[in-house]
Amino acid sequence: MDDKTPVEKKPISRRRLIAYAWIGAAAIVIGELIFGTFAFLWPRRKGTKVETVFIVGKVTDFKVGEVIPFRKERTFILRTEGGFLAMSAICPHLRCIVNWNEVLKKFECPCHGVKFNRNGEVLEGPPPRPLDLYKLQIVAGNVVVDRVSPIERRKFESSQVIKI
Amino acid sequence: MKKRILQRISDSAVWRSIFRTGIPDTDLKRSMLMFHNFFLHIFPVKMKRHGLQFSYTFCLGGISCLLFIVLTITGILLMFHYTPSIERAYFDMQALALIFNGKILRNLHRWAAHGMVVTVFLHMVRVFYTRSYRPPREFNWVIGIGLLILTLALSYTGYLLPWDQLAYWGITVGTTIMTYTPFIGNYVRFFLLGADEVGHEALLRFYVVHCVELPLIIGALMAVHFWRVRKDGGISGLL
Repeated sequence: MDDKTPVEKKPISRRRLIAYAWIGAAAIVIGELIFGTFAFLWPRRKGTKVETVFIVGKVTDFKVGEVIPFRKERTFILRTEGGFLAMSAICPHLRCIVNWNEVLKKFECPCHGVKFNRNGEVLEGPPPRPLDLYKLQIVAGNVVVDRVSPIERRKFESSQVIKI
Repeated sequence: MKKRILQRISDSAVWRSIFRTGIPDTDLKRSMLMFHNFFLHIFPVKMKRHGLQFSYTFCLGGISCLLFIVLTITGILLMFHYTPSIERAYFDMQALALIFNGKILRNLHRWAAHGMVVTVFLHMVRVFYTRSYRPPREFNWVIGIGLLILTLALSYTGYLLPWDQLAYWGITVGTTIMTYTPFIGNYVRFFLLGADEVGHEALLRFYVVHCVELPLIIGALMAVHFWRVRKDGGISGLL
């Protein structure tokens, strides 16, 4: 250091510097341990992508007005006069699985007593929105559903029905 | 004659190496006995007369601790007959009915768990109404809040382990409520369940958390809690 420049700030003492170095090193090690623990515990995503597209069946297989459950895929297929509607069976309230009551013509959730009409609209109970929709396409007479991203909706509209 | 034998035993090197104080025939020796014994040292050497009154504490903290000990013992025994896998968990739980004392151990565990939630809650009510949360014991109240949360967390994680319908949907609903946490909700659920849905990852995670992690943490906090009760002057104010 140049002798002529006045030292305004007191230089840090050796003792202090070493203390800070120790604290810094300890903080890094502890931080690594915490980060490493959480990174270790973070769940591994499944390697193979889950198949989201499935073929429901032929258009002619369905009777008008039918609601067909697909348990494994957690999907309901609704056949209306004009076409098809694919609805998720996962309740928009707290993700329980709803059932189709053929007698009452209503969807019912066993967890909190929710009832939806056949178009998936809430009749009674706490859900914030109707049952989510899945993308449905009709390819060469087959009904194909893609469950990759559920479509949230505020109410049922006839435009949601996929025409044959 | 009888006294001579007792005297000789308590004067022997073996006795003196285990119990340092000898026969507690004076107040000093009695207090030394409490101080120098690992199992007795959490008890007070002396206390206020009104602290002995049952209606002052209703023994609620002590009952909670006793229930925790019951839960630990029965829980360890149940672990010998339980496998945390979705193929076996439910049937292992049912098979307890076929094992000698299996049913009573499971029910002891279940009822003690319900009881502990009740007594911990009532203990906090008692502490609140006797104003025992006030300085110098305010930090012990904070530790008590931690113990309440851990008790509820233990109840919740244990709820999944029978792997029945009630457990499955209970955890589905509970972890979905967690997704409403701002910003990190979905990550919290994913981290706790180990997957997007309740499955074998979730069962294994809840098993480890229920049987190892939370009991260790609650044990450490209980030790601090009891120690502070002593250091802050016992159950009914400063001595």
